[in-house]
Amino acid sequence: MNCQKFEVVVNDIAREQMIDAGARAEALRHIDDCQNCADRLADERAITTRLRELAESVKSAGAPARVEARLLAAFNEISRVQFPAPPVFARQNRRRYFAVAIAAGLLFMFGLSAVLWRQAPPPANQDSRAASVAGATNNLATTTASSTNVSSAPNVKKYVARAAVWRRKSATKREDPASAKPLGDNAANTEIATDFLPMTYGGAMNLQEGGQMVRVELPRLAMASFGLPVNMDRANEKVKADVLLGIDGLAHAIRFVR
Amino acid sequence: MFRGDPEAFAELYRRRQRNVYRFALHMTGAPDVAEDVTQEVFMAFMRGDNNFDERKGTVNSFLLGIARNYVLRRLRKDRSLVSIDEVVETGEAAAGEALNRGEAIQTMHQAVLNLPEHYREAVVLCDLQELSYSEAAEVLGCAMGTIRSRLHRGRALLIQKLRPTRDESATAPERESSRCFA
Repeated sequence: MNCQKFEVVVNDIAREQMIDAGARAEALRHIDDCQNCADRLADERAITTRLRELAESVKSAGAPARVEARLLAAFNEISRVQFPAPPVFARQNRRRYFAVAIAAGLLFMFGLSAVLWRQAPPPANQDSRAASVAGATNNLATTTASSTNVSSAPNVKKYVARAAVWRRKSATKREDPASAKPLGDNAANTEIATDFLPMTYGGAMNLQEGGQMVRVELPRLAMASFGLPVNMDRANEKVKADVLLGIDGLAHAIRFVR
Repeated sequence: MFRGDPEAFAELYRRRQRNVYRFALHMTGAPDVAEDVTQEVFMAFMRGDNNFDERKGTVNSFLLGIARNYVLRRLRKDRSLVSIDEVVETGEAAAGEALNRGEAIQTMHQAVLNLPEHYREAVVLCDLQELSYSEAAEVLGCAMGTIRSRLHRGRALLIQKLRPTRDESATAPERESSRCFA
């Protein structure tokens, strides 16, 4: 080994690094013959020793604790932004959802029970009134063709209109007239009635103040009193009639039903 | 990387902060700058400014690479941190005194600080931080041959700087050492 080759490995030898064993042996043999290279290796070893002393002197040195505290604070801040804590919000939202769901369920149950209560059949004494009203409504709308001779009178129309208003007012609690048919759907649909005929002694009383419809049976001959044709062969038979009673208890109008 | 786990971050910090701090301290000679650099390195790491890729090297090399950038930036910003003249004077003054161990270490530290940045980096990483050539090459982003060359040159400069002290303490005749550094 010459001095140039020695210069290549002198650092590793001085720093006690792993090198090829043959190269190391040659280098050590070279310094036996070359004083300059021996001094060079001594210098390198000296500087290695002093560098190690320097490294040892600051071996335990480290950043102060306040750096770690600042970094952890910054880390928590960044984490809060990058990884927002969902559990708290989720729990709150879950509670809100449960509360809203329970409230919605209760509202639905109340609404359903109210609808069922409205659709339930009314007591018997109210059924007859409701049926009469329903029948009057249906007949007012559908049976004018069968009594054209009666509905042509202007005073009859007035009473019919009042009766309709009265019917709407008294039936507001029953929005579905078809559901209030105590006599049955078939009876309401199959009955044919005249328009309401004013009773002479009833005057022009305002039926909007209230009233009542009562179904009665009269001798067929009574139809003649209102100018309706009567088969005298059946004069003794009964005929059904709806009488509109005002709040004064007097009959204001009548219609005949078949 | 830490998925919001502060304990994981704290554990990594406690393991690695000394290497970063010592590197910055050896490179700048200023504890407050080393403290700032350490903080900046881990701040950058937690922010993910430089994506760590384990295929490219170890975490230690990665952190030291970030530290190196911050140190160089700081040195260029404040050149007065290390003054060549000041260090030369310190070395010459120390040469005439009987050195105890503490003073010798201080002199050595000043000599290291006096080295040019490229050589200083190699000496600090390989001799003071005891990194292998390959690890130092990862930190500095250069070839292993470059590291060996810079380390060789840096150590030769240190020998030159400290020779008066050694010669005086050893009372040996002064030798021409330029031959070995050529």
